[in-house]
Amino acid sequence: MISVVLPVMNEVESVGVLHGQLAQVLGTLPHAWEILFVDDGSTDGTWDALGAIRASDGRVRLIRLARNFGQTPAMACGIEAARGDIVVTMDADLQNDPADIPRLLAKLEEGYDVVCGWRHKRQDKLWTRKVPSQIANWLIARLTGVALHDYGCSLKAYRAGAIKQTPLYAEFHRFIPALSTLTGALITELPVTHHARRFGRTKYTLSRTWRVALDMITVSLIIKFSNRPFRFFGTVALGALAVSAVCVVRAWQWYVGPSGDIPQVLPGIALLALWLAGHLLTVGWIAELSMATSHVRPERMVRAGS
Amino acid sequence: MDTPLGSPRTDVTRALGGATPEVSVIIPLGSRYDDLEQLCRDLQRILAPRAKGYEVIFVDDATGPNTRLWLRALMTQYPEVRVIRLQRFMGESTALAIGAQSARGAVLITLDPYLHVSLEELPKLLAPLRQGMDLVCGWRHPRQESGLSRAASAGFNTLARWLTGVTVHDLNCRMRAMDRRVLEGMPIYGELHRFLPIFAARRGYRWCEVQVPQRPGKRELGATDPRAYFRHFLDLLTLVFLTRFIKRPLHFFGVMGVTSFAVGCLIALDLVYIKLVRGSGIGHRPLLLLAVMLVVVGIQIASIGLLGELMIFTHARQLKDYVVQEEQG
Repeated sequence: MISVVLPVMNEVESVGVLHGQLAQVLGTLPHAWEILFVDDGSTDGTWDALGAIRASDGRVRLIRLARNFGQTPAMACGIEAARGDIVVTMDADLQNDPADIPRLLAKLEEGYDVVCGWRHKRQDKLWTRKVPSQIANWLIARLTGVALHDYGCSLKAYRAGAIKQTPLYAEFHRFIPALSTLTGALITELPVTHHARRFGRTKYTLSRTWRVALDMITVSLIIKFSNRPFRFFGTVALGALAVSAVCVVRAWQWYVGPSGDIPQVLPGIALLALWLAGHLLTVGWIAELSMATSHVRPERMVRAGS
Repeated sequence: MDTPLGSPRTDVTRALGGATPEVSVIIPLGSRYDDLEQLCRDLQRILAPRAKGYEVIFVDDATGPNTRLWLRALMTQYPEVRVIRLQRFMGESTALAIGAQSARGAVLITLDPYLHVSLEELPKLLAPLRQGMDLVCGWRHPRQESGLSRAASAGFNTLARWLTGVTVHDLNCRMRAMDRRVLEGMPIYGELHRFLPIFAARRGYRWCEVQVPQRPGKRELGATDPRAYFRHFLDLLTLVFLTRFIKRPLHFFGVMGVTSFAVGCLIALDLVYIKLVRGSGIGHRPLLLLAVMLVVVGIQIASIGLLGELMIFTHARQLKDYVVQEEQG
């Protein structure tokens, strides 16, 4: 079964058109399917419009969140509720084209776990949307070590086993491809069509840049160190121990030297560095413990059919 | 009576058997309580005509043997009374959480056993629930206490408003009515139950306060004890951490740690400049120690943030940061 998950926020004009297009495309496929709209606190009557769609098509499921929580929580909610063994996510603003879905599914059949859309002819404003996005894509590729062209495209297809294990919180939807590799998923990308916005306004603004940058650092740190956190903390701890040792040796040299007087700062630095080493060893040990009990591990991923 | 109250419990009602009550009243019993029989009588008079069945759950938080006898007598007299006895003292929050776990009603009402607010006010709290509220909190107004204790309470509530941005007026009023799902997945332990409206507001539940007059002659237990307010203040800080930073520990600690680290490095650079260019010794300067300490503290804070982030990350699937209001299909 295929579950199409659509987070929607104030898209009253789009949802009807979108449902029509989706139903047409999905109808050509041999699989059973469901469409899951997650209303992320819309205030413009989207929920009533969705209710009308569900009344006409029983394969449509609706979830309404208690307030506006953001795109990632809405997507996480939809993915959690999805019943299919294949999950397709996309934006509800009609910028993604449902006609691409069969190609994404064909790619999944080749053995991939995650197929990401790549908007290679993007129809957005150049300076406020495309350039920042290019920079972000370049940075994410470097920092996370997962080389894709377009991390921001919502149109993706997943095997349920891969995406249901991926931690999704805060504003991590951009990092789904990178994070899903932690569960051992195989990723690829596929060029998809991209339309200019027909209704409503974009919900992205440049003011998010700072938080996205912090998230990027967070995710890259997690990816780097989540496998064996103690190695990272332990390395820094050994560095601190080395600094401490150097200070002690220097202090000893002063002590046996002609003046017999030790600069007071040297033992101070030695103690601080020793303290830091102790701190990092304990923190590293706790980090290792928390990863050892984690479910975000390749060996714990549920693989369908194997 | 026609609009159903709250979300029915689906998991254990059948297992427990019997008719499912619509309302569960949870009363944690500590060292101090009023006439419990009067309480049961009043609840019967007030709730029986207003709800499709109700139950009263006393959570006996390791009180003395006398209470146990009292409760046993109550159970035989009032079939709606259930008693959960805790082996040792757990505190009001845990008692509430345990009571809520075994409650069968779709609506939970929490009460204090010494009734700061008269039970006659209870219908005022039930009415907004029927109109779609998830949580209705009592707000004792007017208060009957001394000026000092009123000022302390007002100060505490103002601080809570200011720190959390949630417009609460009386966090210490125990009379609350809520849809049962409000309590599900809430971190209610220690003494955090008083902050329930803040947790609920943060998670997107609809909530409101209803003004209820305080009964004359009823004083808050330990309200004038400065230690109690100190504890409440610490709880408030815990709450700010739990609600603001639980999802992004690295944003908070990381920025703090990197700032400390950077200031330390700048001071150290200045000292290197003094040593290399001016040629004066820096071994005896406390500033060097300060620089090293800032760097060390910076690494410590950032590493704790990274640890916190790892913990959130590994449990992100269980910690849901959204609340579903309605589901169709």
